[in-house]
Amino acid sequence: MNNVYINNNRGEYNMKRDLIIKSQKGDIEAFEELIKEHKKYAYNIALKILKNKENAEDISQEALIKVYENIKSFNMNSSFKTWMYKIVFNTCIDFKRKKRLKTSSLDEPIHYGYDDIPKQIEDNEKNPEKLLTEKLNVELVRDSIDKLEDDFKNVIILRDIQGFKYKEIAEILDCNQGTVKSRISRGREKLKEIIIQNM
Amino acid sequence: MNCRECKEKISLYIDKELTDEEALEFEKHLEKCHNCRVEFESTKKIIETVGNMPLEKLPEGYCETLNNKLLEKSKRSKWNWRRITAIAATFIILIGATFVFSNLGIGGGKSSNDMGFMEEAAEEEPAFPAEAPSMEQKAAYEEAEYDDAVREEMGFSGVLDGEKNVGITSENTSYRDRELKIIKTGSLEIETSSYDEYVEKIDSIVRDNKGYIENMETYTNNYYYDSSNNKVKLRTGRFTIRIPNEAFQSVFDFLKGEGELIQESINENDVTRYYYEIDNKVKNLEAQEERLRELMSEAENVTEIMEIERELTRIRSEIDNLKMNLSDIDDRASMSTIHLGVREIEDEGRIQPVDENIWSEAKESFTRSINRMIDFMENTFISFIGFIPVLAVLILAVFIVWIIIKKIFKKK
Repeated sequence: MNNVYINNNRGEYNMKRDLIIKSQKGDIEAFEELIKEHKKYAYNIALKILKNKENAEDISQEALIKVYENIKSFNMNSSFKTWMYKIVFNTCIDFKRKKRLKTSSLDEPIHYGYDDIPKQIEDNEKNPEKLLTEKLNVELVRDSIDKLEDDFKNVIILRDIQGFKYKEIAEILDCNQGTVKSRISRGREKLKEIIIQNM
Repeated sequence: MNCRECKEKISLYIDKELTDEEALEFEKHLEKCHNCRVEFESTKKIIETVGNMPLEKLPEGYCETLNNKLLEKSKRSKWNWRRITAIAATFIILIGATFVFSNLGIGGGKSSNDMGFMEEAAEEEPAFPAEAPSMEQKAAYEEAEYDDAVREEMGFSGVLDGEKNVGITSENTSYRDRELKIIKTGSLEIETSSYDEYVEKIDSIVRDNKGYIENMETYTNNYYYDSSNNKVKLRTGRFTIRIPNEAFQSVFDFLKGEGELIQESINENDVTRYYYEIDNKVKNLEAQEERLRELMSEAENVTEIMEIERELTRIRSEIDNLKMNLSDIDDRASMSTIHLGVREIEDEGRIQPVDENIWSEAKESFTRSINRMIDFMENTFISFIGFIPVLAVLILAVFIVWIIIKKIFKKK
């Protein structure tokens, strides 16, 4: 039981297991029950990545269908949630790549080095950090996330919007936890910079 | 810990990804450093705001569309799977069958040829006796008419019926205990470089098997110059060999094996029906003959005697004729015939052109392989077309088996 359901009670775990097994046999109702709570998240991931409601709808559905088609090959010992989001995530990324919807490239990412940040803060005597806590709102954050580079945006989406653990993010993105850690830290720093700029 | 290290750890601290020691150090630094504390607070705030961002609602009809797409997909994917399996199975069978067919092509081809040959023989054979008896029957019919005329003339009508009965009964009995009359004829065309030896071998094997050489001729029809420029004659021989049926195959094989085989054929002609038809005819005629002899003894005047005498002679000669036919068949059926042609060829060791051009060899081999390829393709095509009906059944069978397996798996 060393998987994602470790925190759930055993009954729920078994229920999920049953649903997965039924889905593997082609039971659509069971599958829909299985992804009931994930649909919204899948859609939101797609929306965040693709920035277009129609595309997000199509692609998230395509991704969920892919999940259904491939559920036979799902390994029961791994986490369904991680596995599923990996498919959703990759489908979105693939689509984006194909369509060359380089949304983030419209706003050239700001390539500040580590050393630039403290300088900037020091330069600004009014201390934007204080201002930031006052002026922070959802719209600002949302726009700023959209302006992040893909690599950073992806981990922010997964970590801060979807609430995945570092380990799960590493699995979804197919990279090691070290990379995830550094991307999250740097992503958050970048996000903060963008927010300060946009204020 | 300096400010830079601290900054790097803000994110990890918030996510509780630091070790206890690191966390403690981090907290200590925050207490001391105002800047870092502010930065920590703002980062934390941002993360909270991001986390509290409301999720976009699913668009209207999202679930219905998804459901429809899933239904469609599940149908299609099922069918796809089925189709793919069927196609794969078909291909495997196709390839396998073609392979088997083309591999058996040499063996199978031969056997089918044999069959064709047998069929041909079977077709030809009845045609032959059928035609022959019809002529005989015609003769017999004319003869019967003639008999009638004679008898009517002599006031002996009505006897014919009895005769007919005799004929029929005799045919019936003979039908049951027929002995098969099969005329077996083989023909061989052999090339050998040692003609005399070969002829000696023929002689000895024929004698050993209680056969005889019915006919033999040798003539020279060619010659060549050997290495020392001597003229060497090449002979050709024609042999007709008679061999008891049971030894036919062994002798045939022996003759075949002793030289270079050019051509061979074996023909078996079943003349059983023809034979017994003639046999019946003979019996009928003999019955007629007997009756005529009886008549003869009762004959009153010379004209009658003359008439009967003439009739008897005619019947007698016909019987003799037919009997000769029969004995000929008997002979041919008990002793098989081998027509053997022997051609003497130049001794290969001396005459073979030594410096055969590599290019021409290559050309030959090229042509050979092209021919082989064409043969193979033709064979493949033919066997494929021929295999179509079997294929249909096989596909059906595979399909059914597949469904059954599927069901078993589902149950499991």
